[in-house]
Amino acid sequence: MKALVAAALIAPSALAQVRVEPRVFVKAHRVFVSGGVTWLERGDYYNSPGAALSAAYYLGEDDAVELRSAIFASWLGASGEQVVRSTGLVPDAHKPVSLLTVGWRHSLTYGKVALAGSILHFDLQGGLDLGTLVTDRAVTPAACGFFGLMARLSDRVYGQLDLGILTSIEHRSTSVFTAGFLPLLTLGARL
Amino acid sequence: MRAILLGLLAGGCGGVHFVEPNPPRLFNNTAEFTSAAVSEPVVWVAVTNLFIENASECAWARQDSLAAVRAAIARSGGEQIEVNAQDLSPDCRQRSETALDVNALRAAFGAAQIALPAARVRPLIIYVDNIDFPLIAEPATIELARATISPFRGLLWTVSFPSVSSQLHADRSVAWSYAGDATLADRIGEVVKVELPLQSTASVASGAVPLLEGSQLGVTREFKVCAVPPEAAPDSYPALGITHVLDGAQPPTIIFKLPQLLASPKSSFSNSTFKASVEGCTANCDRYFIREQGADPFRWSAMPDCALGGQ
Repeated sequence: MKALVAAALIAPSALAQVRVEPRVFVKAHRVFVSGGVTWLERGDYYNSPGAALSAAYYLGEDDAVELRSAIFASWLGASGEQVVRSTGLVPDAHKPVSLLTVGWRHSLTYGKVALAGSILHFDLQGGLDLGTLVTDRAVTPAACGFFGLMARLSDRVYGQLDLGILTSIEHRSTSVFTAGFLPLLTLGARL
Repeated sequence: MRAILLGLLAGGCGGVHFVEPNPPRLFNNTAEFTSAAVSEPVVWVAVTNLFIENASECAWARQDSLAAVRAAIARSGGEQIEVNAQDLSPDCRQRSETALDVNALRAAFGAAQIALPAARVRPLIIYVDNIDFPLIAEPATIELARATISPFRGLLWTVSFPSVSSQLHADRSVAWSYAGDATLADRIGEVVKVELPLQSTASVASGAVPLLEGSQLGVTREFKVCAVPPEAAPDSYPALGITHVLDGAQPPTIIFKLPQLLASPKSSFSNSTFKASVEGCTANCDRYFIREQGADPFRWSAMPDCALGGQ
C-alpha cells in the first residue's frame, strides 16, 4: 500500500497505465463437456485405469453442477496375481467397473500465466461428487472430493486435471469404508 | 493434505484380505448315546424288634407290622423275593432277646442270587423297632449283615424312632407311630415309590454308535473326530483331529464304556449320556479355511484340529 501511494505521488501517470483485462475464460451459463483418462488407486491389489467423461453446467463464473462417469479396465496386479496363482486365495476387495456421480464444483480462484510465449487462463477448483461405484460384485455408494485445475487451451477447448479422493462403502469380509486416489485428466470443449 | 491422503489410502489398503473363493464345505455332527437302565428284583427281609406291654398282642403287632411292610414292598412292581423275617424279641418283652442271624441271612440272599442268576441282588433290610432308646448290640450285627450277606452292600431302611435310625445310619427311615397304624403301609410305600425297584446300567458298553448320520454318509467326503469323552473306548473310533476319507462301506463308529451303577436305589440312579463331536467335509476339503477376517488360512485337510470349533 505504501508502495502504491509512493508510486502515485511520484508518477501519477503510471496509475493511468494499470489495466484490468476482461475475463477471457468465461464459463457462466455454459456447458463444458470433456473426456479423458483416469486411474483409481485404492490399494486393493487391482490396477484400475479408466476412461472418464464429464459434463458441467456453470450457474455462474464460480459454481457448476457436474455429471461425471468413468469406466475402469481393472485387472489384478502382479502381487495379487502371484498370491492367486500360488494359493488360490483372492482379495476380498471388489474389482472397480464404473463410476457415476453428480456433484458441484466451485472455482476458488481465476488466474493466468505466461507459458511458452502465450497466456494460459485457468481456474483452480474444488468440488464434491456423490454417486455410485459399480464393482464386479455390487453397486456401492460413493463420494468423491477433489481439487483441480481447469485451463483454457483455446477459445472453445479446455483441459482439466482433477485430483480426487474417492470413498465408498464396500462389503468385503465385512463392510468397510474404502478410500482411493482418483486423478482425472480430461480434454473438452465449451458448447 | 498429504497426511490426510496417506491416511485415507492406508485405510483403504488395510481393508483388503485374501479370502478363499471355494472354502471347504463343513458341517458339525454330534454322536450321542444315552445308557439304558434295567430294574433289579427286590430281595428283602424284615427284622422286627418290638416291645409290647401286653404280651397277648405281641404276635398281632408283629404280624400287622410285617403286613404293612409287605404291602408297601409289593407296590414296587417287578420281581420280589421276601427272605424269612427275623424277630429279635420273640415275646415282645425285651429288646434283642435273640441276636440277628447273619449266617441265615447270608444263606437266604445267596439262595436268592442263585435263583436269579442274571440279577444283581442287593439285600434290602427293613428294621422295625418301636423303642425310643439307643440300641446296644444291634448296630454292629446289622452293619455286619449289610456288609457281608451279599457281594452288594445291603440297604437298610428303618421303621423306628429317629434316634434308632440315626444310630443305624439307615439309608431311609419311616417314623414309627404305634402298632396297628393303618397309615404305615402308605408311609413305607412312599419310600418304595422313590427307591424301588433298584436300577442297574443295562450294559457294559454302548455298542457301535455311528459318528455320522445316515443322510450325512451320502455326501461326506472326509471327516475328523473333534472330541470324545473319557468314556470312549480306546481305538474304538477314528483317531482324533486327523482327516479321514469316508469309507461308505465302513461308516465311522465309536464305542463308549458305560460307568456301572448296579442295583442302585432309583433316587440315586441316572442314565449317562455321552457325546462325540465330528466335523465333516462335503466339498473342497483341501481348500483353505480362514477362521476369521485377517486370520491365517489353513488347508482344512491339513489342520490338526476341527475348524468349526467342535472341540
